[in-house]
Amino acid sequence: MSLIADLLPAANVVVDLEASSKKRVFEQAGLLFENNQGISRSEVFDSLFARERLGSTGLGQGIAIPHGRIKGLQEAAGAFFRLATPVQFDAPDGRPVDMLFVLLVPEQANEQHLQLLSELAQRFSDADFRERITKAADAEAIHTAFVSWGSDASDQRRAAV
Amino acid sequence: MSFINGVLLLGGVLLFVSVLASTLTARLGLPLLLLFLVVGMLAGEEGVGGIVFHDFSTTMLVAQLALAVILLDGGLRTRASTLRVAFKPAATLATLGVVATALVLGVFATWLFGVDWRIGLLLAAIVGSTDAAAVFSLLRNSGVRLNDRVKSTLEIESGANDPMAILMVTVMVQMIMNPGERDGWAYGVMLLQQLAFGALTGLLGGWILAALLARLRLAEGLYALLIVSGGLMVFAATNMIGGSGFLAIYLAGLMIGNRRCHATEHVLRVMDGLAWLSQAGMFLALGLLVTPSHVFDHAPRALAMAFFLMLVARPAAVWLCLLKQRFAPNEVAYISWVGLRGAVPIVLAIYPLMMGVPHSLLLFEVAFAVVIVSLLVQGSTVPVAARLLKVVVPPRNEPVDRVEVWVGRNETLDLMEYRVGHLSRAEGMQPDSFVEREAGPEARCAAVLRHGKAVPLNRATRMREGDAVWLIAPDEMAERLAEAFAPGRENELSANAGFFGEFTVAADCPAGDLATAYGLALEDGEAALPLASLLIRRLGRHAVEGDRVSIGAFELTVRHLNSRGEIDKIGLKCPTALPMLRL
Repeated sequence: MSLIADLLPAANVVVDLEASSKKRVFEQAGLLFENNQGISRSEVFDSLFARERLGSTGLGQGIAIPHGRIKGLQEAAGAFFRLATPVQFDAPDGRPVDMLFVLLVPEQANEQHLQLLSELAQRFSDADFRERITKAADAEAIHTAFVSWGSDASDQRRAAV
Repeated sequence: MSFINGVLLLGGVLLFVSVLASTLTARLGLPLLLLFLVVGMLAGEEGVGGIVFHDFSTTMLVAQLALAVILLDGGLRTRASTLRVAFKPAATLATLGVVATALVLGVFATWLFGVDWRIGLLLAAIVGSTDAAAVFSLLRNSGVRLNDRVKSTLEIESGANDPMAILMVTVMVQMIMNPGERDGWAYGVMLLQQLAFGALTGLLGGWILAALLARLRLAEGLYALLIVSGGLMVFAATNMIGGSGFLAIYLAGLMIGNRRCHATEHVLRVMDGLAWLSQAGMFLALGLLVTPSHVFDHAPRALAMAFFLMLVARPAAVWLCLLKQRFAPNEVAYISWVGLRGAVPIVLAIYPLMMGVPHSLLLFEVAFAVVIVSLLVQGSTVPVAARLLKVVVPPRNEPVDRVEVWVGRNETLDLMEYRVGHLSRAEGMQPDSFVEREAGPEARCAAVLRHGKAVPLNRATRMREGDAVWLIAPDEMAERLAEAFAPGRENELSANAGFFGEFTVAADCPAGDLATAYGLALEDGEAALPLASLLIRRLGRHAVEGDRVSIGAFELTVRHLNSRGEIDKIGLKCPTALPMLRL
C-alpha cells in the first residue's frame, strides 16, 4: 500500500499555478491547506520556510519537495503543484523548479516523516513517472498517476519478496 | 659497434613491445608493472629472448635512477592539502609500520626457512615497505575514486617508507656481516640522521628548484629536464652526506609541485612520460635479471611468505599504527590490503647479494616471488576491494582535458575541453548563451568540434551529443561546468543522489535548526554548533568527502570540501522505506 496515496486528496492537486517565486508558491500552498484541511496558512508558510533555510528542498530535474512539521496536525497531508512557469529554487542542478510536492507532517511523527520523504524522492526519480505527470492533461490525471504508481510499486515489492 | 647496436635494438624492442602491450593490460585489469616484469622474463635466459643477464650492479643503477624519478613524479603530483588528513597516519605507517611488519614477518620467516633469526629478519625487512611506483600507478589507474583519507595515506606512506626499509636492510646486513661492531644507539642515530638530512635537503632543494622554475625562461621541453636533473642532484648529494635520498627527492617534488607557475604544466606533461619510462625500464631490467625457474623452486614457501605478509603481518602493523587515528574499520582493512610491494623489495634484495651475505640468492628469489604474488593478488583487486570495503566515493565531474596557458608571470588562462553528454544540460543549446547561463561573464566558448572539425560559431550553432567544446573559464568553475556537460540522469534526480542523499544542506546552518525541522534528538551542547562542526566532532578527525554520520534515522554525508579542507556541502539521506516493508 502506498503511503502517498492516502495523504493526497484529489482537491490538493493543482496544475498551471501562476507563481513568480518560491515565496509565492509557499503562500499558495498555505492558502490551499487552510481551505482544504483547515491548517493555518501562516503556520504552513513558516514551517516550509524554516526548512528551506537549511538548504533547498529542490531535488533536480525541476522537482522540489518542500516539507515541514506542523504542531497539532493529526495526519500527514500533501499537495502537488505544477507551475505554469518554473521558479528559481537553488536546486543542486541549478534548474528552476516547476513541480512541487508539499508535505506536512504531525510534530511527533518523525519516523513517518522520513519514510514519506524517501518514498517521494524515489517516486520522482522514476523518469517515466516524471514524464507522466509533466504530460498529464489535468489535475485528475496527475492524481491518478500518484495513486496508481503506488500500487504498481507495491506489486513489484511483493513480487520481489 | 655491433654490440652497442645490439643493446640499443634490444632496448628499443623491449620498450616498444611494452608500450604496445600496455593497451592490453588496461583491458585485462592487470597491473602494468607486472607486464613489464613478464616481458623482461620472456626476453630473459629462460624465455624466448634467451638473453643471459646477471649484472646486479647495472640493475642497481637503473633501479635507483628509476625509483628516484618515480618518487619525484609522485611528489610533484601530491597536493599539499592532502597532507592535512594523511600526514600523521602515513608517517606512522612509514616508520613504525615498516618495523612492525618486518618483526612479525621476520619471526615467521625464521621459522619457515629454518635460518638464523637475523637472516629471517633481513628477508622480512626487504619486503617490508610498500612500493611507490606500484601504489601510485595502481591507485590512479584503478578507475575508482577512493576516499581522500585512504588514498593520501597510501600514497604518502608508499613515498615515505622506503628510507625505513632501506635502513633496516642496511642494519641487518651489517649485523650479519660484522656482528657486534655497533650498538643499538648507533643505529638509532643513523636512522634519525637519514630522516633529518633527507627532509632538510629535500625541502631546501625543492624550494630552490621551484624558485628557479618560476624565474627562468627556457624552451618548453627543458623545464622537466631541469627538474629531473636538479632532483637527481638532491637525491645523490643527500645519499652522499648520509641522508635518505629517496625521502629528499620525494619532498623536493612535493615542494615544486605545490608552487605552481608557468612551467609546472610542461613539467608534469614530460614527467608523465619519464615516470612511465622509469617504471618500464626498472621492471624490464628486474625481469631480465631473475631466473624464473629458481623462483619457482621456492614456490610453496614463497607463497606462504606472501600470504602471511598480506593476511597477518601487514594487517597487524596497519591496525597497530592506525589504532589512535580514528580510521573506520573498513578503511583500516583497505589500507592493509593495498600494501602493494613492487620494485623496492627486489632492489633491496640485491644489496645482500652484492655484499655476499649467506643465503642471499634465496632472499632475492623469495623477495621476487613475494612481489609477483602481491602485484597479482593485491594489484588486480585494488578496485574490487575498494568497492567491497566501501572506500570509494562517486567520481568528480571533470573536464576531459585541461590546458593552462600562462599569459603573464602570474596570469593564466584555463582552457578546458568538455564532451557534450546525452541528455545533458548543454545538449541543444547555443554555446554562448549556454556559457552565459552556466558560468556567467567570466567564461567564454573558444571552439566547438564535431567529428574532429571545428564548427563555425554563430547564433544558430547548437551543441550536439558528442561534440567537443573548448571553454576558457576560471579553474574553480571546472567542476560546475563539467556537471552541465554530464549525461542526463534518467532515474536519478541529481548527481549521485543515491550516494550522498537526495537533499543538500548548508554546512554552516545550526545543527539545532535541523533537529527542530525533523524532530531529531541531539547530544548535549550540539544544538548550537554549525552542522559542519557537529560532523567533525562526531567523526573525531578531519573530514573527507564521503564520511558519514547518523543522527537518528538520518544519514549525513560530507558532500563537498572547499579548497581549505572545510566542509561546505552536506548531503542528507532519508532511510528508504523498503527495508521496513521486508520486516
